[in-house]
Amino acid sequence: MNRMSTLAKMTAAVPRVLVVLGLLAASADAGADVRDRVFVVRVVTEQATNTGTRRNTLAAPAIVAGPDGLLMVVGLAIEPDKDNHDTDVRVTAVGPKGWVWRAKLLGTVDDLECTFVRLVPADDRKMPKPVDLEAPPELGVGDPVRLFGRHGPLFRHAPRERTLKIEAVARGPQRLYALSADVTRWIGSMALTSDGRLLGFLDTRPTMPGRRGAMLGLGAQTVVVVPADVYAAAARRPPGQVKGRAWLGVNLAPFDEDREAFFSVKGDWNGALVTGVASGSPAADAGLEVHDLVRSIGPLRIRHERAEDWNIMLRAVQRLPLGQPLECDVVRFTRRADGEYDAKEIKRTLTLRERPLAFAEVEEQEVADLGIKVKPLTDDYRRTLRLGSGIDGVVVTRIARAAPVQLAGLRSDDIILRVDEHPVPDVATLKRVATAAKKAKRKKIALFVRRGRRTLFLAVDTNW
Amino acid sequence: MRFFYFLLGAGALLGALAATPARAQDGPRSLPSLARRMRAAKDGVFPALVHIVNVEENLVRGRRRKSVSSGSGFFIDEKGHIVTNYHVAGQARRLFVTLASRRKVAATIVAGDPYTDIAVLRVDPKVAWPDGKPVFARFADSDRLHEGDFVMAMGSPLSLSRSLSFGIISCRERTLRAMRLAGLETGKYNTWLQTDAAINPGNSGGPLVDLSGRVVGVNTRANLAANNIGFAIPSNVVRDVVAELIRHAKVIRSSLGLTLQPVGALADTALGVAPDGVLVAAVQKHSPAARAGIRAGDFLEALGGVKVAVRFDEELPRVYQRIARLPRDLDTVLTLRRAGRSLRVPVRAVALARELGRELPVASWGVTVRGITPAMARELRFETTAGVLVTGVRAGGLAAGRLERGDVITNVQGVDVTDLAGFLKLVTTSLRAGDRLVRLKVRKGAILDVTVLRRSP
Repeated sequence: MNRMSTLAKMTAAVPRVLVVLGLLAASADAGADVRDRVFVVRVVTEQATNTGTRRNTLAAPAIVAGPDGLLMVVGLAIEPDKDNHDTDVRVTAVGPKGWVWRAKLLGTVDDLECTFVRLVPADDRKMPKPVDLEAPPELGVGDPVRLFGRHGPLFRHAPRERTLKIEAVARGPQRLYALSADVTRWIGSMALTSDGRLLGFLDTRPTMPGRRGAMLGLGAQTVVVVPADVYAAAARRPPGQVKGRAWLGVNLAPFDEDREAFFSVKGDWNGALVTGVASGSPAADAGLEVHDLVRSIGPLRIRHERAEDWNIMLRAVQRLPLGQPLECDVVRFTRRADGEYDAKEIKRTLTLRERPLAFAEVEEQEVADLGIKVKPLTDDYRRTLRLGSGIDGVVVTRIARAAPVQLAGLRSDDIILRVDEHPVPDVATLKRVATAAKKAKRKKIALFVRRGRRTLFLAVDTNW
Repeated sequence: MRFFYFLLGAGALLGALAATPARAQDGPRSLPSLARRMRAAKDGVFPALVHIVNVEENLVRGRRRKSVSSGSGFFIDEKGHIVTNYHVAGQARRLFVTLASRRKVAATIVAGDPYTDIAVLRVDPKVAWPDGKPVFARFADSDRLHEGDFVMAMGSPLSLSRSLSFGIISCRERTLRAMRLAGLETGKYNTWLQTDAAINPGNSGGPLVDLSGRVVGVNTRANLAANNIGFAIPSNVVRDVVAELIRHAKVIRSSLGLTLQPVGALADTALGVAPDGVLVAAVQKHSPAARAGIRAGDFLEALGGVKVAVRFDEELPRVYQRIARLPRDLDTVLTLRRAGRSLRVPVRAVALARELGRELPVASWGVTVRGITPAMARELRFETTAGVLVTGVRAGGLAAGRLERGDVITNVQGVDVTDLAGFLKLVTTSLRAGDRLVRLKVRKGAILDVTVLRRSP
């Protein structure tokens, strides 16, 4: 909870679906004033309840962070409520010319607490050019910073401005600018230079002990501007855009004290212990085995001094180049007769492939003839449910209220295996079979579904 | 207020009594007649009623924890056998019963059956009836019950012993959503009597008695969110189970590995099923049915030449009961229909295997573990029964932060764990050897991890 941004806290009452919005800028050079290139993103959630529809609206400023209408909102965690299938989420973005764009929620990058939204192309307008996040200007102590963003829990008005001076600058692995003032409501705002260039964003976790404000040795009123280039990597590969993410096909665990003790090794043994290898994965192809210790993959040394480094390390693995042979330093342990382990250093060559889509990332598809939305059964979902490879079907993710399938007893998360006598290995087959059944004017169809650990048949009245 | 409702109930009874000539003779005196019959019925069973207090021992978060609970029960024979619910006394370590004479005596557990939630206890007859005159309740034929029949629930609601409530049979064949009791699906082999005679916590195990003073059911469940919706196990089920428990100390059931589904609304679908059979919804891997090639979607028409027809859920327990009674030394021929063709498949039933492995504490590690049975492996989707399942971890114990509930310990000090006994042997060996460091391989879902337990010198 402590890690939630102020605005995120304020939005916690909304059924876990949040908002975004933005203003647009016209050109993409780093030197230009970005204030006229900010969108306002508005997220409307509608939840069907027993007493009617509950509607919530949230809005926040967003910057054009990438091509093809990619907008980024800092300080906001927006995740659709996957458990509630009665909730609809609509996202729109208002541009600087007052145009309203339809937009799509991509997801949130947790460690940066920023959310990405993509504009839906429209015929009558061009996509906005992105603001350059890569090379923000460098400022010093005493330089003015103009905060440009929200004021108030809901962003109902045009972005406001406030000017503060930089109190301190941290020059560690990452530059940070400290401002000292009570600007809680401005968390996530854009920080601009006096001539309107983008410097960064007001950090979402400013005053917590051990956090960035404290790192600068400043007081509780300290907030920190994180330079824009910190967000650049996330903007290059926003959530939902999984294309290009590297896939190793292993479960990795930090080689901590306990695991070191198990293999009776001492000293600097930083690395990742392989605790699972997916069959057919790049790791399996390279000959990695369970309980191998991976110490480097290509240019990436695997280190984890602190617990929070581990996730950063895992993300770094995902950003490794695809399709190129990468040499890995691996330690293989062999158990001796006396119960101790021998450690032998070996080399393995990995060629990373693109990560297959996870179940959560796969698009829902509507099967209108049944009144349901479904997703295909992905490999990761099979692993989660521990389903054997012989089971093919589609997963029900949403059911229209009072649809015949609901009356027949179909539930979300059921896996449809067969419709009448037809196996349903994919969504296309399900759509085809459902349409055929409807056209044939059959009174009833039988669904064969897997629910948890059991299977059952359901009779669906097709007279809908 | 209570009296007012009681009169209403009695008034409704008048009509029912008038329907039969014998009862009609009661004429204007029928209300006192009802009261007399109720009192006679009560007097017949009340002396056999007992209040049960049990001391249970459970394994919670890696340690033994004792708790006390109470319920009801009643004597069923002159040998001092008492019937109650499995959830009242099935896992008791010590048992005390308070007799109708208000004397408190110790009882022992004979056996219990979680599938039907029945347990049998015993009190030495000489202790129970020092005067040598045993008093026990008799069972009625629950199949002859009808909705609207008057019944009385006896027992100790909220530990208020020797309480009586009155109502009618609201439904004589109710199926309830499966409840897990000791890891088993309670209610698979029986339907329930639903009654509006008040049943509250503590009534469990007490008798549901008709106006002739015979036990028609054993009060077991109630919907506490509702007004007087209680459920009892029918006496015919109780009688059979109790006889088995007294004779064999357990109920031995046969199994084919079939999960069945009523035909219900599926009769008009392309599956080609008809109301004169039952649908096979699932077949357990490696079961007799699977070995015989039976598949989900097959339509079972007859079992050993006897037709089975299951149109509704209420009819399913009877078929499971029939399967439970199949011989295990002879083949039974199943008549099936698959894709319009009729098949006759011989299958040999096997004894229904124990579903849950034994659970034991390992005090020196601060964990409780359970052996893995084939049924558990199936349920948890484990590929093998090797290893032991961690069921609890004591905070502050050796394993705290290293093991968690649901982990499977597969290897201790380099030796693979085959089963619970093997595991305990490895733990003892390690303890005797004074190992400061115990190396463990642990399966957490799909993850095969390693960890160590450090013993202080």
